Amino acid sequence: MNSQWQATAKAWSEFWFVPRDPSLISSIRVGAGLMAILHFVTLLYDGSNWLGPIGWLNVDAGRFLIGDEVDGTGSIYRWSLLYWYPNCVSWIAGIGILASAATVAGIGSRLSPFAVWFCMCTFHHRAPLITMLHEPMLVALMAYLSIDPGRTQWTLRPGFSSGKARISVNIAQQLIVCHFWIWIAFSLFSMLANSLWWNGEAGWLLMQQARGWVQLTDGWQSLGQLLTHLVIATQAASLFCMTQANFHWLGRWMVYGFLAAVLLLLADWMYAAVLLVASFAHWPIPIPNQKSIPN
Amino acid sequence: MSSGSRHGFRIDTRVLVIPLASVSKTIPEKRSSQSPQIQWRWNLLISILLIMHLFSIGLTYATNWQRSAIEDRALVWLQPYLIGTNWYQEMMPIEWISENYRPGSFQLSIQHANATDQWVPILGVTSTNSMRAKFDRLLHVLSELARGEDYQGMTRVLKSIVLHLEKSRPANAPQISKIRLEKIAASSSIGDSEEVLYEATLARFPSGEFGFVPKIENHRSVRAIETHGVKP
Repeated sequence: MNSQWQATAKAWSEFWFVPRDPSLISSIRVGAGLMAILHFVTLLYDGSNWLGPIGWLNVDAGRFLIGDEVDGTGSIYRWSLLYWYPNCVSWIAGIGILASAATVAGIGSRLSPFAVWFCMCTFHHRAPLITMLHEPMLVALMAYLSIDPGRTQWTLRPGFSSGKARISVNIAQQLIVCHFWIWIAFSLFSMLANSLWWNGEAGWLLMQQARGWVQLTDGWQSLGQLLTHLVIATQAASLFCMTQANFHWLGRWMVYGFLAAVLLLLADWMYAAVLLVASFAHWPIPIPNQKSIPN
Repeated sequence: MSSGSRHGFRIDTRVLVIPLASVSKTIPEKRSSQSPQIQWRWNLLISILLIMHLFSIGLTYATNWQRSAIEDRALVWLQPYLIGTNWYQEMMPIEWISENYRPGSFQLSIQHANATDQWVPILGVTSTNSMRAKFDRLLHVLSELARGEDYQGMTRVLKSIVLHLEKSRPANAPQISKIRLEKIAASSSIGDSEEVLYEATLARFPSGEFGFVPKIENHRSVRAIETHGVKP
């Protein structure tokens, strides 16, 4: 029994507490930063229309929807500045763009992804019920990148500008690995709890209503049903392949297949792109001359 | 004594940390600054925090479509962390399409004062692709409020929507007189049917404020519902 526990503890330590080269987390930081720039640009363009003083969801409606002053809703922990300063939507979106650009450029070390996380949370806490699919994963990436953003420049900590392997890089990267796995798992479980994904109607309905990039007429119902089953299959296969080093190559293609389904059925390219960036933590991006990173 | 001893085996808790210490010895950057003893304590502390974090994430995602009483209590206990640091997600659209809410199957319409028999859709089928996802989320919220018969909540959200529409309309445009949330048939092949979930007339006051007077069923014989102090 002791040897089993020792082996488990050793594997745990090797998973979390081994120094790791910051190349991959730096690539994830750049990808997530670019997505954050696009996210804040849409908020700069449309945020006031939604959350401003006369937006679709004004402060009064927003406070009601978070269960303000109702016991057990946790509304006291919603700290968005937009409840007190609803005119500042564009300002916060602008700061978010600057922080995201700094994150992409690697300026400011941990501070930049933390500032992006703060700006995103400000919007989420203001209207948590109208967050988009890509937002929970993007805000999680920024939180993990705040632990270690990889190689950065113009920082007060010289260690961050070097390519030196660090334990904090490994912890940040493995948190992304775990979070991505949990996300795909619950995406799959939530679909399996819905009969529309069992009888093939989900994909068909989405395609019939042209929610994604393709619209099908009644004669193509079988294709819609086939895509529904493929969405489930690619997620299940991805989950398995992510845990098996020998199947990583296949898992990568399964995730790509799932992302293609996101585009075909939902046309949510932001969601697909954020998931793609998060999936890099599992399998390094195939860039020529990149150091091989153990997983 | 460890908890496992009552089941016929004994767990030596030291084995959980010894390997952590042994691994930490191989870390060059830490060897010079911290003793292995301190290092494994740090690793143990970080391990506990990581487990708690990942457990919380799993819990908040799992409770999005079903939850038990014990999960509910755990969520309330974890609220300062989960909500404060923005890990908590409600009504997450992770399943793309749900049995309760199918995108495109709800519509919010208004009626203008000068066109009493014409309903103009404002959210739903008229939304463009780029805006549709956000409008879908708002319609989902409204449909949940209607399903839960939370008419006070409906009133507060609809008031915000009507204020937005009135402030953004041209100065000479007619005022909104009625508002309606309806379920529309998304697909006849799966037996969808149309249904009006909520309909209300706007009652306007001299101060410029307005309230909602919900439409009541024809057969109703009791007092009408009072909304915002407005009596029909």
